[in-house]
Amino acid sequence: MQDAEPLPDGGAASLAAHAWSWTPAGRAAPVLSDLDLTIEPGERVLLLGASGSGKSTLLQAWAGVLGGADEGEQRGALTVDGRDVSEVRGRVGLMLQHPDAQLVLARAEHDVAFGPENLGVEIDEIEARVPEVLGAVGLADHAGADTRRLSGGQQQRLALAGVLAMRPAALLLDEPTAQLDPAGVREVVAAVGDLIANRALTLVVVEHRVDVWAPLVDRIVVLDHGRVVADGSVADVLREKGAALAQRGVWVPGHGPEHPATSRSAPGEVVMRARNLAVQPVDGDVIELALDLDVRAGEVVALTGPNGSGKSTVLLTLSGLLSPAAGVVEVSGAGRPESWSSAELAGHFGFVFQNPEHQFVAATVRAELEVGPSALARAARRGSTPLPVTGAEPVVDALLDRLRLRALAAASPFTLSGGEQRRLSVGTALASAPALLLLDEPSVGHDARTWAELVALLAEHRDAGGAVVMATHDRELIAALGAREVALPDRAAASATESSAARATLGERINPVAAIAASLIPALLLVTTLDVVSAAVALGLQVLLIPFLGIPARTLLRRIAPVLVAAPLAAATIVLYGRASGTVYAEFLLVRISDGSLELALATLLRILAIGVPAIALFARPDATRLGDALGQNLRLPSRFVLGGVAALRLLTVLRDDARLLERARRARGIGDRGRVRRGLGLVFSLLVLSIRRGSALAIGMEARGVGAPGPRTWTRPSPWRASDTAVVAVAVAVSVIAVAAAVLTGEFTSVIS
Amino acid sequence: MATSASPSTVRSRPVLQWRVVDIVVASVLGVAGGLVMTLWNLVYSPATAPLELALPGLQALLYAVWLFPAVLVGLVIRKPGAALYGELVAAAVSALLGGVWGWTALAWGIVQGLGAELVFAILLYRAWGLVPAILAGLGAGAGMALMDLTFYYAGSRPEFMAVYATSALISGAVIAGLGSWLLVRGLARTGALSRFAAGRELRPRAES
Repeated sequence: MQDAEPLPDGGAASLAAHAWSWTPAGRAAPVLSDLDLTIEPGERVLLLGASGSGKSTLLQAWAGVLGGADEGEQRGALTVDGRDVSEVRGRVGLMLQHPDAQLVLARAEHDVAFGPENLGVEIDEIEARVPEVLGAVGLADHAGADTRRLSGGQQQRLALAGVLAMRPAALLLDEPTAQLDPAGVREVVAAVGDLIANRALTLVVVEHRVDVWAPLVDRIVVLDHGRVVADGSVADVLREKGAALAQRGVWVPGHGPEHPATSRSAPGEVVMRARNLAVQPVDGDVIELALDLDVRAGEVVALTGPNGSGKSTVLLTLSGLLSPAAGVVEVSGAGRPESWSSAELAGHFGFVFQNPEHQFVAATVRAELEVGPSALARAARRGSTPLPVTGAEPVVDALLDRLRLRALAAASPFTLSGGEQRRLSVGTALASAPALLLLDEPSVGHDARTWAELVALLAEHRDAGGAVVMATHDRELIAALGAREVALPDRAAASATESSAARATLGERINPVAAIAASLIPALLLVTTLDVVSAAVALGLQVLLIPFLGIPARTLLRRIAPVLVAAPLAAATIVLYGRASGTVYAEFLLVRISDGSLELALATLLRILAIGVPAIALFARPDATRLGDALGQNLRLPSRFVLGGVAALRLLTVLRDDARLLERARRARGIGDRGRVRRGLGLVFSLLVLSIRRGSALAIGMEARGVGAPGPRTWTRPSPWRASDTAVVAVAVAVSVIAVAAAVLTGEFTSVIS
Repeated sequence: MATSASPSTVRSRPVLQWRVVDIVVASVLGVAGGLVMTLWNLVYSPATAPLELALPGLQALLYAVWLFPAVLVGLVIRKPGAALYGELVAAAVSALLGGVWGWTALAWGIVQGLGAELVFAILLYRAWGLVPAILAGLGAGAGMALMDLTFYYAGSRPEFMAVYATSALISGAVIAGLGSWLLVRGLARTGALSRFAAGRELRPRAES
């Protein structure tokens, strides 16, 4: 079907807006109004403007992912190659800021194929494109890599390959390097430079850093409040508008952000010391650093080192949120932080997480700033902390002014702009007047103005005699604060390339639909039985059969552990409250322990194991990609829903990390000592906010990659239903039939139906 | 009810077609719900033991933690099938992560999700207030009581069944119904729902 309109591989696209306006649903004012802009085929344009000026909206509109009439109202015309954007799907490729929003599948080469699959490109063609575009971005050796294990720069290059695989004639990049460390920025810029040198592509980049992209572009367009305010060659625009742009937060060469001078006085006494420290991330191996570190009052320490060197883990360990794997962390005169209560941690440390949204726990900005001080006050009333306590009111009022957030005091922290959120997150750490401030990558994602504000806040804390430890890649930040650099050594990172397993076991080869059927059908039969014999026979047969799946015993045991705990608990309930019959051994209130209830309990225990264990054994290593392929091909479920589910499953690990960070942030902020219920509810709420935000961003990324395109989808990976799949299901059915037959033959069969 | 000439207050017919963002956010909420279910699977037994000791069957008062994805996803997405889809994805995720109930969780997910879905369908996918939320929670609670009493507590005494069913309904109405409604209001205030009608009705910040 792609032959219907032969796409000229040689032709770059033209992009245009004619008196175009866009007003999102529910808003009175347009984000972009009466925009007139034409970009000729093959032009390379840098699109600048303050946050909120409509840059991202414009890119999304040209990519055709802005949504239909129920999402907003548009006027005027927006075209690609002179045609309406809805008619030219695939001509425009859009790349976004966050890898999480655009990497959908687990394996690099699968993810690259995702876009063309959605456009219905033929399999042979897709198989030819994948290695070609991986080579074009320098990832030829990483075709089999797990996308989550790639570095930030590699992930963004992979996202670029995914866009290229759709054969776009225009490449739109929305802050593609904002989240990357300097090495990652260089990688991505070099990859884009190669591409535009070798292909006919129109390029539009949105970025705050002019110096990074200026060498690649020949035109700068500046948007302000939805209108074009400057348009011309790089040199002209920077000469005429450079100062004004710098004021709005753009990093303009020669107009660097102003910041306070570096410290004037020598550092004071040691406030924290670490000796012979080794650290261990929650899911990782011990990082042997043998780190000795003294942090002094009035100094800034910068932990530097490549990705994976353990900067963030060291930071968490220094702050008592993780225990040292070896060695000691000690706060002068106060002992070891890993054993402290949450309120004590908040009294000594202010921790600023990389993503401010992990840190917010309150409904308003003012309440957010009050969290730390009031946690300290509560702890002081209980007498559980020796920390000095000052009243929250004056501190919070002063902070609101200092952070320029007074007008937003009643707003939800989540509604603030990126820069405001970052200021607030530093503010929440400062609110309890800690001696030591710890920050994880504090300057990632800032524009020049918010960056300067951050430097000012940290310098103020330093000059007031506070200490700062930060994990960072930002050389300018280190220089601006006169930080003492502690470089962590590079660790030979575990190879991201997947080791190809010798031969897949039955458990790995089984079709996921067969696995669901094989665990579901017998389970549904078993839940209708009540007797000991059927459950015992089923469980016995399963224990004999599971080894054939070839799952390592350790994996299996680790995964069934929760079931082994839960099953006896459920059985205990039946012992106490099950229907009584035969001899009654004990009776009080409604509890009656009898022969009958004991037998029912035993049956329950066995039945839960017989239902739970095979379900886990058949999905010992859940694989979202294979599950999606099977649901889409074997069950023929609607592909949009299958892909939505697959993408959401990939986010599961992200959400798990989110949950962990949220829990830590609460502990760092002094509210980790709250009751379980309150903590749990707060955690769930924050997790839902994050999941909706991540989901909304992912939806844009997926739509940009052709999800929802009309026409049939191509599935490149076959999802075969082999004889072994039929056999597995047949064996599972046989197990349950034998179990029930045994119960009937022994006269023990009892069913819920009767 | 006073009618207004202002075009912005005219209720347009709901768009029942799912957008990509509806599918993805419903899926992600379902996955988050499945994560919550999995954590709840680990603690529900000790957490509800005191209730059970006080009166057997009363433990179901807290069981609607397993039901909230149905009502929540229904209220956020406002499309036919959203409640069922949300509960089903959550159940599937809890099975994938290795729950006690294995893939039978799917069967519970379908019946519980249908309980909520039916309520939204009867209301023609046009009413999304507190009362519909509570009714949907009741529907899901009824589904849970039906499944649990048929399969897991089949051997129980009638008085236990009565207490259990009543508790499940109350729990569904309060935790899944009222709770999800409150959650959606809270979520809307954070601005996270700006691409959804549920979020636009309750603007986070007044804009002129």
